[in-house]
Parts: sequence; structure tokens; C-alpha cells
Amino acid sequence: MLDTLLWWLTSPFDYAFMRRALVAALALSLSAPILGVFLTLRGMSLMGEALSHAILPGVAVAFMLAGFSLPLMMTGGVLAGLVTVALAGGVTQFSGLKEDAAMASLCLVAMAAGVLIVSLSGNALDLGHVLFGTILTVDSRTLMLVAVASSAIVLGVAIAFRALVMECLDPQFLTLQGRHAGWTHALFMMMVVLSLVVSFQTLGTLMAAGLMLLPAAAARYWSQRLEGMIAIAVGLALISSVVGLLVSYHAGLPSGPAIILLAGLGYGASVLLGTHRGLLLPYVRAKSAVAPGHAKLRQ
Amino acid sequence: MSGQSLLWHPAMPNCDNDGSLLQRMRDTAALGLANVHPHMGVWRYSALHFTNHFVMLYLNLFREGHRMVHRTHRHRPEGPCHFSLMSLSATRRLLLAAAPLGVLWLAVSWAAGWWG
Repeated sequence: MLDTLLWWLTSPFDYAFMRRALVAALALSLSAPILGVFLTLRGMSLMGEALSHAILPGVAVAFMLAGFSLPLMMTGGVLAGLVTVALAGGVTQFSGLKEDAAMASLCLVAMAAGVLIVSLSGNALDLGHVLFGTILTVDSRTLMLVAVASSAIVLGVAIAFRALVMECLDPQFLTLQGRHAGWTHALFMMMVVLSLVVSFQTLGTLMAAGLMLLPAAAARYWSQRLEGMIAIAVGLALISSVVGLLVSYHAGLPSGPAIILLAGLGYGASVLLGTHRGLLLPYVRAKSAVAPGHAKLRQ
Repeated sequence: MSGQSLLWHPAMPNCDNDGSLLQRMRDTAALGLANVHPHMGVWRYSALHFTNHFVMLYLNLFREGHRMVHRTHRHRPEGPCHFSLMSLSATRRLLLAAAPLGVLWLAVSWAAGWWG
């Protein structure tokens, strides 16, 4: 029994491609959920999802110019994401339209343009690769890129943590402290774009935000403290990544959707069982409040 | 109150202990009564009382830990009462982040085959 379990847990990692996929997923799980927690705190979860589509035209143009070159595709994705964020910010600033509406509109246009460019320049397989990702094809170079980007994000959050939190909660206070809230917001959005761009190789542009937002949303049901939320979100993402990869290997399922579905399962369990605002919590508390025998003791 | 006190502890969940100010005042009053009441004085300093006290405390910590926090928790007057990333300097936050990143790069070296 123990041998079988050990075999189930370790045998996939005899293969180099599975080891690379595992570490790439772990690197993403370390950085993306932290940004996801900040996004959910700001009420910008949908913005993350929209941004993951906004990088597509840049990736597609790079693909059209240089074929499947990951560094160029990443550069294109970062540029496209930043241009979309800047355009959405400009539309909000000058027209008064809310940022989420501007971003949603621009991202739909960007997504359509990206799909069109990939379709014109490649074949259906390439489009599927860009849209859904293939974590099992991560090579050593890509792994290094993912690890460097994740490390940069974690270090960036560690350095600018106070400013990021204050910008979430009270941007005016941050400005009064002599820090420009706009720059902090720009730095945060850059980190989000970078995280989404490195995620697209593994999870595709359609699911890149999944590892960022699902664990973060689930963590809000278990903790009300920022440190707690970050730790729980990262833990849940790590578990989803490892178990998702194992399940996909043994059951012959696509890896990206398996990881995201497991994160979704964690979210569903948190909604039901979470210790803060969990749906079943009132019933559990009501049951424990009327413990048998205690009523007699009080009389 | 005296009939209640033998088996009653302010931490018990059936005493409508919702952590409110009124409830704390009631609890304090009950403990004060145990100090001054002639019969309760004997009980209060007996070994059985202390046993009962700790049994009740841990029983209720186990069953209703989340409602007990305000009783077992002591705020540190010199700083934040919990661990807080906001209270750490940038250097300490970087050192804290270095630990998981070190593990990550070890894993990268394993996956990339740097160990030979």
C-alpha cells in the first residue's frame, strides 16, 4: 500500500519533462497567488482575468515574426499588457469611464486581435498552444525564465510591501506620506502583467489567471489577516499544482486544466467550509453552541 | 451564582460568552465573587479548583478556540500583537522572502539537471 502510494507520488518525476513542469508550476504558485491576494483586496479580480487576455496580441505578433521563441513572445506579451493597462488608464482618466469597463472593452478587442493574428500566421495547434498552454513542454530555458520572473515578483512584493498594502487600503494616505500612489499602482500592474506572461506558457492565456485568483479567493474564507491570506493562497496553489500534475499524469488528462480544476475544487471547499463566511459555518456554530449537558450545568 | 461556580468557568461556551464588554464584566464579577464569598474561598484555593480550572480551559480551547482568543491572548504593549509583515523592515522582508526562493532555486537546479 505504502509502496503504491510512493510510486504514485514519485514515478512521474523520473522523467525530466515532468520535473521541469513541476518546478515551473511551483514557481508560479509561489508568486501568482500573492498578487492574486492584492487583486482580490482591491476588488480587481476581473481585471487580472482581463489582463491575461490582453497579452495575446503581443504574443501573437512575436510568434508571427520569430516563430515559437519564448523570450520574444514574453517581451511581446509584456509590451501588449502594459500598452493595454496604459490605454485603459488613459480612457478612465480622460473620459470618466470606470477602469474595469475600459479594461474589459480593450481586452476583448485585444483577445480577438490576438486570435486573428495567430490564426493567420500559424495553424490550429499553435492557437491551442497559446490559448491553453502546455506545461509539459517547458524546457530548461523556459523554466529559468519562469523562475527568474517569479523571484523578481516575490522580491518586488517584499520590497514594496508596505506601499502596496497602503495603496490597496488608503491611496490618499500613501500620497500624504510622500509616495505617489499612481507609481505604486503602476508597479503592481507591471508585476501582474509579468506574472500573467510567464503563466501563459504553462496554463495558456485563457487560464493564466486561474492560479493567481482561485487560491487567493479561497484564502479569504480561511483568514482575515493579509499574512494568513498570502500563506494560505500560496499553500493552496502549491498543493493544486503538485496534485494536479500527478492526477494529469496518472489519469492521462491535460495538465493545465487539471491544476486549475483542483484549485477550483479548493475554492469550492473553502466557500462551504471556510472559517470566515463559509456557507456551512452558521450550522456548525449553532450545533456547537448548544452542547448537550451544558444547559443543565447553567441552571 | 454560587451554585453555578462549582462547575462553571467564564470560558465555558454555554455562558453566552460572545466576548462582549457586558459579558466580560459579568465574568469579572463572577471571579470577584469567588474571591470574597466565604464558601467559595475554600474552593478557590483547593487543588480540585485548579484542576477544574485547567480541565475546563483546555476543554473549551479545544472545542471553541476561536471564541477563547480574547481570554488567552496577551497584547504586547511595545509592538503589534501578532506577527505582521507590515511591521518588518524591507531588509527583514527580503530575508523572509529569501527562504522560499532558496528552496525554489534548489528545485530549479534539480529539474534543470545541474546536479549531474
